[in-house]
Amino acid sequence: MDCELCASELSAYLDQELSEGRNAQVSKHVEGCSSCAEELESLKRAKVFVENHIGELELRPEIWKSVRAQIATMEAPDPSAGFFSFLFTSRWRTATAATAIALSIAVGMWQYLQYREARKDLQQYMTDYIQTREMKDGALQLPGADMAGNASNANLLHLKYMNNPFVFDRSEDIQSNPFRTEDR
Amino acid sequence: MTKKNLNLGISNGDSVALADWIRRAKNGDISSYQKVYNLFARKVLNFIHRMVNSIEEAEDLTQETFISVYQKLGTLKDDDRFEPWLFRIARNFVYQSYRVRQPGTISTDIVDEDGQPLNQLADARKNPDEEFQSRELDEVVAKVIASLPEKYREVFVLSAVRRFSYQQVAEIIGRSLPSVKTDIHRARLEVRKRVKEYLQ
Repeated sequence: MDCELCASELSAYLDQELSEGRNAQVSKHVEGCSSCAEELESLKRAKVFVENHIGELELRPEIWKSVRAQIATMEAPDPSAGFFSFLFTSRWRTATAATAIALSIAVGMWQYLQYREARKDLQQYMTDYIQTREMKDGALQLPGADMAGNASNANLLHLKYMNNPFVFDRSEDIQSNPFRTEDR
Repeated sequence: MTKKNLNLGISNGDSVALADWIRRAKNGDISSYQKVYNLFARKVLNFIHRMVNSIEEAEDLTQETFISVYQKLGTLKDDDRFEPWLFRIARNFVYQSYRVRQPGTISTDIVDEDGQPLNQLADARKNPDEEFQSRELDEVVAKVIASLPEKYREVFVLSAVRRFSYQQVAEIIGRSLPSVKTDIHRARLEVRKRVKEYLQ
């Protein structure tokens, strides 16, 4: 540290406003430099002189009386600052924010679960509806479908192919085939 | 994680009570506001006095400050920053008064028959000669501070007289910490130059 830098830091040094590291640097420099030591001493004497001769005014009671008379005619600065206002003080603000975030996440998750449940119900409803329709209309027995189970897959296939001209009811063809023998 | 309380100069107990007084005052409790006033009014008065160099004007501006603070309490979000916020408001009133003040206005301090400011208490510990010398030197210091350029006077009063930290001073006057640090040093050099002959 050179003298120019040290001199610029002396006020902050006297006021104990320097970081620990910088404080140590100034101390070390002043110990080894007589001109900076003298400068520091001179600033210290001026500081003490001012502090010893700072006159302070006393507060006259009339000042508060005037303030009181004025504010008594005003509305409360923040009438909403009632019981729950403590939630917005610095101590409670973090807890309030954390609680609000946790509640938001919980509500969001609940709504998502509700949505999934509703969607599941809707799928089941659609399946049941198709099944009912197929039972009424007589759905095609397509390969891969059996009589007892997996009817839903067959019905879904039926829906998919019902307008496809290349998909047809084979059972009728089999029955109307003149070359069909009894054992076929 | 604890937040730094910038209301220095008051005890921890007062700091906890202060938050409660402010909350009640926001709700219109004037007796709580009076407790806040009692804690800070003297500091504010003396800060303003150093800036305007007139007791009467300092008292008027102190009143205006505390009336304005009461009105604006609802806007204060962080009780830990009440003191710098209060001094910012006081400072604004000081600068408003500068704009209103006519050029060449002289101090209108109220003085007693001996020419001493009326509301400064005598120091009973000193004998009359010492008292006289002390008052003379008080006057010297007051004039030296009053003669500083505004920019230096402000930071010097807040830091050296009112004992705010550099960080608090920066927050009150709305400038950067390095800038405040430089000006405080320059103010000290200027004060030293002007009181040099009185230093033993």
